Amino acid sequence: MTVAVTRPPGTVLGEDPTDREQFVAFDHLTALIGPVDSDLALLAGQADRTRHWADEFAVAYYDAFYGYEAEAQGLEGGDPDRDRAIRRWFLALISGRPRAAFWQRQFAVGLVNFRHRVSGTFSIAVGSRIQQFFLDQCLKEYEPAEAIALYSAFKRVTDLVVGLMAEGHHRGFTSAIEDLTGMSGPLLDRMAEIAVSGIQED
Amino acid sequence: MTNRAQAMEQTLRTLVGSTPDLQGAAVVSIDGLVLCSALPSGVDEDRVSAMAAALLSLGERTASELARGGLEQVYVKGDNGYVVLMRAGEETVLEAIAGPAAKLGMVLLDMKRAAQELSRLV
Repeated sequence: MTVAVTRPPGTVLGEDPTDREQFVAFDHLTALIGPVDSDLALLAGQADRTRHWADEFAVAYYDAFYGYEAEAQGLEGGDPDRDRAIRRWFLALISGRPRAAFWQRQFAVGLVNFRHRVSGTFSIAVGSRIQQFFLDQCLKEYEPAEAIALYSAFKRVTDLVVGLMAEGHHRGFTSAIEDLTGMSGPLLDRMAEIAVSGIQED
Repeated sequence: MTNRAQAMEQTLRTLVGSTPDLQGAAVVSIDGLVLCSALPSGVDEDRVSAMAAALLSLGERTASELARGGLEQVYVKGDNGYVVLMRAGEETVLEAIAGPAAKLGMVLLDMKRAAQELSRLV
């Protein structure tokens, strides 16, 4: 079964800047990483064999997360159901059938991460760790060629997820400033442009 | 230079030339781009324009948050004088700098007139 990874049907880029950036990010990422439809189909085809990795995956994820004290501190008082949430996330991903809402949530996670002071750097690092986990599992349970193919599919899909989170994180930062100061996005861009060109000249 | 740009520049020159202690002025877009400038040499117009747009946005947001109604002007006083900002139409900001001895009432009055004129031009 092929799952079309496109913006939700009928979605029009509206005036809401968060929605807009979310869909623009999605379009850029899928254009650059490559279409992930066949990757999702591959993951879906193997879901029966990979589903049982979910528990171990949740452990690996949180080992990475809380093992790093600086970031763990930012998550004090977090969601007590997060073990279940990360398990669900993994299962949704390997099902190969994530719905539009799933992709929108990845962007929203970036916004939430911003609030919890989980940096973009950390999201990228954790993304790398979960990819390594998936590769290890693939190599344990599949023939090398199959393992590489399945891992590559998972990697592209999780790269898309991490990209959406990073954009969501950035959006969290800019929307906080826009909301509090009334400065528009183009003005913030302009200020950044001027400041950065000044730094470059220095 | 287009007629409109010439007219804007003329309005700024008149403002600076006819208001005592006014040392310079500029018109910038609310996105922080310079539209027209009569600021003293040595001023980084790009930086100052972005700052003016930012100050105006912040002023509007603060006035609204504290229920002070629509923003009329923002003024910043330093040891060496004033920076005054006001809207000149929907999309533009008029910014002026004045010396410490400037009569603010006069500055504001002249700026308001210039802002009205500029809002018709942009």
